[in-house]
Amino acid sequence: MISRHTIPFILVIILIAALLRILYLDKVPQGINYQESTLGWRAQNLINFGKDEYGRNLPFFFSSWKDIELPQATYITLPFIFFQTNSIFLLRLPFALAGILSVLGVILLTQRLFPEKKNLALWTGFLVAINPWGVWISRIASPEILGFSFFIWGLYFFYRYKKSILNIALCLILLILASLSHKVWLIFIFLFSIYLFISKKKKKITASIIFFTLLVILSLLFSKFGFQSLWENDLAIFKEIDWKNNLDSLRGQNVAAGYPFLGKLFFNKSFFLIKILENFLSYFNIGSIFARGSNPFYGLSNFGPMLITLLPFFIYGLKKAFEEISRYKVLFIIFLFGIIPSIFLSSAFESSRFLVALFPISVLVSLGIVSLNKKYIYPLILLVLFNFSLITFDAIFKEPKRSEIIWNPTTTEIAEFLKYYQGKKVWLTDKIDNNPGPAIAFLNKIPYSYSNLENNQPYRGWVSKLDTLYIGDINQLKENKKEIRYYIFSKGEINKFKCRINHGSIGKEEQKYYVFEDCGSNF
Amino acid sequence: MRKKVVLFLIGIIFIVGLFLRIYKLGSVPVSLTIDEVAIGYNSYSILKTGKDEWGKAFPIAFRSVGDYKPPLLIYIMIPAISVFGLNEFGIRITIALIGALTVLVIFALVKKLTGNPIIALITSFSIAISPWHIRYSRSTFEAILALFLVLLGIFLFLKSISNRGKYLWLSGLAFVLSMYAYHSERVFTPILVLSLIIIFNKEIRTFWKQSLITLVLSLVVFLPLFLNLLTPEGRTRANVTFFTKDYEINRFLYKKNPSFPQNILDNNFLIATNFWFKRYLDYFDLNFLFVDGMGYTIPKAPDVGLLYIIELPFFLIGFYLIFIKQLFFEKKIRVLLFIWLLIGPIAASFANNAQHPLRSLTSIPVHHLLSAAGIWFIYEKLRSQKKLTFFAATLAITIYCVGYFMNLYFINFQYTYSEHLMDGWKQAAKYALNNHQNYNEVIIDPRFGTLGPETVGIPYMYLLVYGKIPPDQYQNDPRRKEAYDSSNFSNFTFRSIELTEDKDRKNTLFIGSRWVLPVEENQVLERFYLLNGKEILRAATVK
Repeated sequence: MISRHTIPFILVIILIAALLRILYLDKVPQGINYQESTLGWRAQNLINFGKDEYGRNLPFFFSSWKDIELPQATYITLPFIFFQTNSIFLLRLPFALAGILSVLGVILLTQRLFPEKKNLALWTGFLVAINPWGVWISRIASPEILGFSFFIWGLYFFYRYKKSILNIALCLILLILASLSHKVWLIFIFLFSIYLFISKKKKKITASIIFFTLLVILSLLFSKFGFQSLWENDLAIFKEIDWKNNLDSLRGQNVAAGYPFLGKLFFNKSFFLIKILENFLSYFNIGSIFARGSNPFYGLSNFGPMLITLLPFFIYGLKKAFEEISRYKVLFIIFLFGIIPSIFLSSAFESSRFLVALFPISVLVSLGIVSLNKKYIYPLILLVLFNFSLITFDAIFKEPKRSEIIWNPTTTEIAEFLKYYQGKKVWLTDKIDNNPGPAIAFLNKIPYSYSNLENNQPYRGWVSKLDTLYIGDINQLKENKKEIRYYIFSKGEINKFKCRINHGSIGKEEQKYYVFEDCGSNF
Repeated sequence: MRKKVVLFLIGIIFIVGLFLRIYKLGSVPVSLTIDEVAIGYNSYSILKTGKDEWGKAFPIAFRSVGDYKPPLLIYIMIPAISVFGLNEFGIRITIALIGALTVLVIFALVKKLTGNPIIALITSFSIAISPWHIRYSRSTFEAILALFLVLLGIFLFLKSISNRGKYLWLSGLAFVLSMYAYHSERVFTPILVLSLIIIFNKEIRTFWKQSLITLVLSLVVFLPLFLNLLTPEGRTRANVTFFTKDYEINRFLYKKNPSFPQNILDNNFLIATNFWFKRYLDYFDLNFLFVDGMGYTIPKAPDVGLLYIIELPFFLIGFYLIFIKQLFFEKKIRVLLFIWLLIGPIAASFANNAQHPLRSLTSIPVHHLLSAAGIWFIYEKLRSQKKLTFFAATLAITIYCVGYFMNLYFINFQYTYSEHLMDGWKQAAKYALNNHQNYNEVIIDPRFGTLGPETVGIPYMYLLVYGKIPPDQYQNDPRRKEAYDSSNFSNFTFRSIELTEDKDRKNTLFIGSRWVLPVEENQVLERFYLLNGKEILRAATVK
């Protein structure tokens, strides 16, 4: 139970979490990345036409630029952007709210799991509220934070469950919703439910969740491009061409050196087991969690997901937890099961895929803090505040420059620019972004039917045509090039073409693009 | 376990360790590296003249190629070079023997720490077969000597604690000498000694006379090194390799201090500290330690860690038992091991290059000790009939791992990295030495590489080593004295070849890579190949 005197503290923590997640939501992170814009454009089309960007009627599985996506994030976005369908702020808002709610959920869950530890829940909530891991991922339209929030609340109701129908319903709904946020969460909740089932905890509920998640996994496998998506993304370790080639080369060297038997004995497919282990171990690298920068898509590129000043407390908390391992077993189970969905990837540690660990790691840090002598608390707070200020300063003033290649704020400027050229044929270089089409379509409210996306395309749909806008390599443009009126080039392409009229530039420095007119006869 | 059995087993382990360190020592690694030829020839030079290659008598820091090498190994190698000569085996054997002796010292140390001969045996066996330790014991890496002295220092220190300070002066001497042996120890050893003094201060106070003698003796021995470190030459190495020189961080540092409020939240100290944390914590990466830290193969290929992968579960169990469950050792020893584990990578993390196995060698004994403790614990917990199965299975997997490492190191590593191991320079040097009298001048370009002339070698040193050029002759060669940093001697000139300017040189032999000698086929006199068959150098004339 939460005591009355802790409520003001909880409110302050929630307020901090809200400020960090809502302030300048449309400007930080800068621009809009292709995953967000795909989500927004899809939601826009669903609101306006009841169809996704491929023209499919209210589908369960969506296709994105990179992957097959589960439905939860898209459908949750719909009510938020209903009144202003091209607002970046409203697109990100449900995710920010999920982030704020997850802080409250963490406090309640920690209190429920470890009621005997005074202030543990408050510290855990505070850490989730301020750490870059939770803050940054709540500020982008990323389904992982929805999964985290729903899981935390679902788990809270799971442990709170007292045979009341409402509790059972909430627990089931929330955990099922969490599993529908992202494939990582689907697999994690499936595995975690099996653990709960085996450890004889509320078997009916866990069995229901296992059944449902298994059904979704099977549906995903048999859906269009579902297996391909799993094979190319989540099981990419088995199709990594470099590893195959390197294995072959090592065996070849042995043959050249006269020991073909040794080559076969030491360099064979068992190497994939080592690669899986390597991926697994990468999640135990404390440097990745406390110091090494994240993928700028999901975190800060120069700082770890957790504040570095918390590391000593994490180690102390870990020691304390190990001393009473049966008491804190659930934290280690969540941590270990959280790794499994990512061990078959071709790359190692990825903070967004491991968001579930934010909870156990925050609890362990807090355990270290509350187990310490009280005289250390004030210096600790000062240290954490300084560390937090340092990161906030960097996130606001320096990170935008470092991550501009990923976030490419110029895409939004180009979308704005293109509004004035509606109806005229414009060509846009493909050097600008990974896939700028969805961002332009979302911001300029271009319907799906004006694009080149078709239902029979695989999930990596490149938007090369949006009404009168063409995006791509100029040499591969199938349209009559002479009909194109305006050209938008990257810096490196200017000298390749001789255009007659220069309309100036869009963007700044490295992300600068140039608008020209009348280049038709030069290709 | 009976004393005789323990002695027999440690004898076997020592022989295994020695074998793995001296087997094919003359031919694996495939070539003497830059450091090896430089250390070898300077040692030879001291043997013959009492001076280094530049003519300085008994230096504290060897100028060599401008990196001011630590002196101890160069002096210690003298007997071996006088016995075996100036060749691959003669240059490498000293470190190989010290590497093998480390196996014995670690046995003594762990036995002293734990009082358990089985854990001591497993630890020493683990180091005897360690990919981390074997590789560096087979080349003239000063870190092996420094580690040996640190281990000896700790052992003697702990022995002194139980002997009222009897061996304390020897311990102090070993610690100070370790700083003469390798740069990393100049950071590591003082912190370790300070930790030992703090941890065992009660005991030390009981034999304060011996402590005082040790302090005075250590300071006296340390003084020349200290004075040398105050000079610009003495600081060269630290200045050149300090981590802020690394491109990864250097480009983010401000050349001018930023203004307020930036200088509170955004200054070079904070930027560098933040970066340093990443570097430091990377040394605790389990993948680096157990999966791919040695870098014997190209990225994304099977590799080996600093320890074998089989040791990982035992390491984790050992860590859990010692530091969490607080078994095996008394509190002081646990604290010492924990501090040792933490400070081991400090020097390495302050230097350039991430995850540098050689520079972090100082922490190796703790890793091996933890995994040995894990093995012993499991063995003890098993029922007697399962003990044999466990022993056999562990031994079988270990043998497989050692075989894998041997194959990787003795074959693949030599093939893949023969260029980095300076393969080709020996052949080129011998060719130049055999033919130089036929030419007015032999010009050798130090730049080379299969993908471009990106690496700069020290060809003059290969000529000095393989020509066994008498050091006094080289030191007094008039061409050598032409300039402060001239290494030219006889009719050998070491400089960049510029064919646009050199094309008219008559009766001149050019040796360099194909990038600097893109001459006609008929002008190429000889080609020098890497182990993997790629051409690395060629000899040619242009007129």
